[in-house]
Amino acid sequence: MKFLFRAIIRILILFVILIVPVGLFITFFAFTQKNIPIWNIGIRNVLRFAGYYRVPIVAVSYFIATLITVSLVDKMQIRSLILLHIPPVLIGAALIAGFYFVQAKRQPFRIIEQDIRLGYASFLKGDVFNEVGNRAIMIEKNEQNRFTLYIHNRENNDLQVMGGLPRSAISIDQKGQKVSFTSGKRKIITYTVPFKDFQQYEGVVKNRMLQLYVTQLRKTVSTLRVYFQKAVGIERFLFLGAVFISMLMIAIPLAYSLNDGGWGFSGITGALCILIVLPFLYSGIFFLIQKMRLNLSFLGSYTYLLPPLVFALIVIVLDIAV
Amino acid sequence: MNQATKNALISIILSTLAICLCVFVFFFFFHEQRLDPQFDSIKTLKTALHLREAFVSTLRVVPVAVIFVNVFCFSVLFTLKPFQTKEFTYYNVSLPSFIMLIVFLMFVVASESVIVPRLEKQIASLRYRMRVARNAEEYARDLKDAREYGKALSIIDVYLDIDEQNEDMITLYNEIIKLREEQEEIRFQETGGPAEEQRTPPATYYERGKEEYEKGNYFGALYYLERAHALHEDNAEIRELYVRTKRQAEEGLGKLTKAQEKKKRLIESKEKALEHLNQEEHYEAYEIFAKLHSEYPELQDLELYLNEVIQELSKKDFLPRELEEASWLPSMDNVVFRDQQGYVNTVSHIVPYNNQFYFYDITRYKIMKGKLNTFRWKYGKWIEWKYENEIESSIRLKNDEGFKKIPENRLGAQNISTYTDPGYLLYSTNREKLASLLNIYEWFSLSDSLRKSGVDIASKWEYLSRLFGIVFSVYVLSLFLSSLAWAKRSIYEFPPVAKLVLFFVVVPVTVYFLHLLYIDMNNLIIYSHRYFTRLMFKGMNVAVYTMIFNIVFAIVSTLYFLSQRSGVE
Repeated sequence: MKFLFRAIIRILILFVILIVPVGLFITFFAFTQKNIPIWNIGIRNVLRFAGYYRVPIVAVSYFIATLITVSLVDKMQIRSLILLHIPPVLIGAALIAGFYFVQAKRQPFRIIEQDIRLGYASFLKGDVFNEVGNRAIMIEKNEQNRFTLYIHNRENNDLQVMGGLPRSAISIDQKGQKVSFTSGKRKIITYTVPFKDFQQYEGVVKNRMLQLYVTQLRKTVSTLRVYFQKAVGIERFLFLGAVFISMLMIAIPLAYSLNDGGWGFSGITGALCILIVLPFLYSGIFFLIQKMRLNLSFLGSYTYLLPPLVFALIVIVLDIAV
Repeated sequence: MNQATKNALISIILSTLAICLCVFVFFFFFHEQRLDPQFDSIKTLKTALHLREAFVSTLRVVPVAVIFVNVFCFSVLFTLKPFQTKEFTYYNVSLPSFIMLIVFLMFVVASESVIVPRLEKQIASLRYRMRVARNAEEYARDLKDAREYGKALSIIDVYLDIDEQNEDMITLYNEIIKLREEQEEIRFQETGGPAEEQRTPPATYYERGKEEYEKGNYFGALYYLERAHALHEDNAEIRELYVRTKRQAEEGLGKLTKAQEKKKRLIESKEKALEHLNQEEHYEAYEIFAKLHSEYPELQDLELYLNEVIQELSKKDFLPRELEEASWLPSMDNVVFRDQQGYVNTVSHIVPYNNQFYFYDITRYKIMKGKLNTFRWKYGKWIEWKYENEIESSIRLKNDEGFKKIPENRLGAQNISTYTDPGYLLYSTNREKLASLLNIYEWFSLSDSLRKSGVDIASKWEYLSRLFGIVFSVYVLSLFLSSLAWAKRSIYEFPPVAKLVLFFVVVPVTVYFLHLLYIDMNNLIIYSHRYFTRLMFKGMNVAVYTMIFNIVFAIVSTLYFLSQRSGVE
């Protein structure tokens, strides 16, 4: 009992510590995926976007906290591997229940939204030439609150100047992901720049290795989403529960097996390894299911229960080996 | 110093050096593979370039290497047999590690703020010289095909200045010399005699004037004797020869010009031009001498005066011919910048060569009274001159005209006064490249000017804040992860091989990402400065603000590091 309580407390503390960096990371990553520059995004937009991404933020923080706790737990205090599943399951169940009771009915798992406020300053730094694709754009604001826009084509050296623009001449289309500058009274000239051409943030979220990993993660998530969208009513929650259980079933025994009392740090490296491998493993299993065209008629309409079944099989083998 | 401390010091130094050496070798071959094959022939520069590129890449990895070495030492190395003596304490390894960390931190600061920018500049210069060599080779071959052998040889000289041992170019050089000799032989046969042998010219004006006089070239003699007489007015010998030469020249002039009036006008004009020349009014002197020379091309003194004026004017002006001759050199294309006069300027090509900067196809834009005004110029050259004991500099603009004095009210329109040297403007549309070239001194002295020029570059305090991010990342992560590694250290005599392999695969990548995450977090702190100063401490410096946060993290990690004990948990 004491062990269970300690494990729960550890997971919770780590969860609280991790939620801020994970939240920031996921939020900024989401911004860059939508080609929105984040160097002047504004704290309100960050909080709003983080709010919309609360489900993945909580899920990832919880998962990492669980993995680290399991990989560093004192093996001498554990009587059985099954017992080790109880603290994560309890916290996970509490989190899912929290989601369900607090807001699932009102906003049933609507994860992605774009209700953020963007202005020209989110895209362009004033009084300097911003690198925008093959162009450089400079915006100058005068005392009468009017703008002068300089658009330099870096391929043919042509400079387009739009003077005396009012604020309304700069419009931002979030859905179409583009910024438009309109000028002229008799002859209207519109210059449109897609979001992706603006200078993006070049931090860790743009790292190539990480992009590769996240692409894999996104593939897995989109596959899961397809299954989720196929399900109706209570089946959706059954599906989510199955995914959640399957993740714990594979991650906890793996982390436990890599946990080494003689070298605690190797447990941490093991946890990181699991974190890296898991999306690839999920994708691999779904790929195999599709490729091998397995006869899943015995599962009836509950085909989504296959991954936990596969993982359960792996865990049994692993458990015997450990 | 006991054995454990000594071992710890050696382990940390050797591990760091070994990692850096491996990284260096890896990057050397990596950059070698990536080089554009067209530069393959320029062997001397190729190796120098790869060495510097590999060095820069290695220096960029040093922060991660330092953190990793600390984690490795505290997790595995310090737990091995050579350290585990009876007298071993945590203090024996933590103190040398901490001292080495401080040394490495100093190196990281020097590397980020001085060494890397210096190497980046050398790389940029080497890359440009490679482009010059490649263009020189192409141009020389074109000139050879066009039978302009003299010019081709001078272009090959440019190449050989860069890579003097290039066999292909030496062969081409010899080939062209042979062709030129053949060409001269044909010309000799056509003209009937070789050109006069060149003699070393006498050193002084008087000697040269005397020699010209003896040859009967009174106009040439007059030029030198006039200069000699101006310098030594008391010298009777010079005066006597000068008077004699003048008389002879005037007689000769009489033969040349039929009308006496014309002769008088020429003498008056020349005197006026000389007056301008003596008063350093070079433009006025040039105007008269150029006119006279075109009228009397046979009068050598006029030609010599004209050359002298051109030489003087070249210090503050230029002729379009100079830019046409340099147009074969590689250029930085399509540059845009703002100047001190409020114009936005676009330049098609900028050629930097031998401390000169040549500008081609310049267009200046300015909104005046709500209307856009555009001015186009064909050529521009960066000119530095002395004005009232101060060095002034600007880009002098012109079309096809020769030397022409600009009226006071047109000075602003025909000169671009830039905020910085043009060397920095070359990279105005590549902010990352420019940022990598600036050392700490340049950041502090130039970042404001560069921003005024329209370059999207961080302010000097933001740069300093970012530098803090890198330095504190190494400090905080090294201490924090070392402490964690020590708390969860191996108690095996030798750790399991499979787990050790996993450690070597996962930990460097993790450390790398943690370093990047720390730098990102530091950027977030910099960003939050604007919100913080709105609430309190208005006008607080961003570098101080960032420093405070980093110091807090540093204190926490240091306390965690100090809280570790020798015993196993």
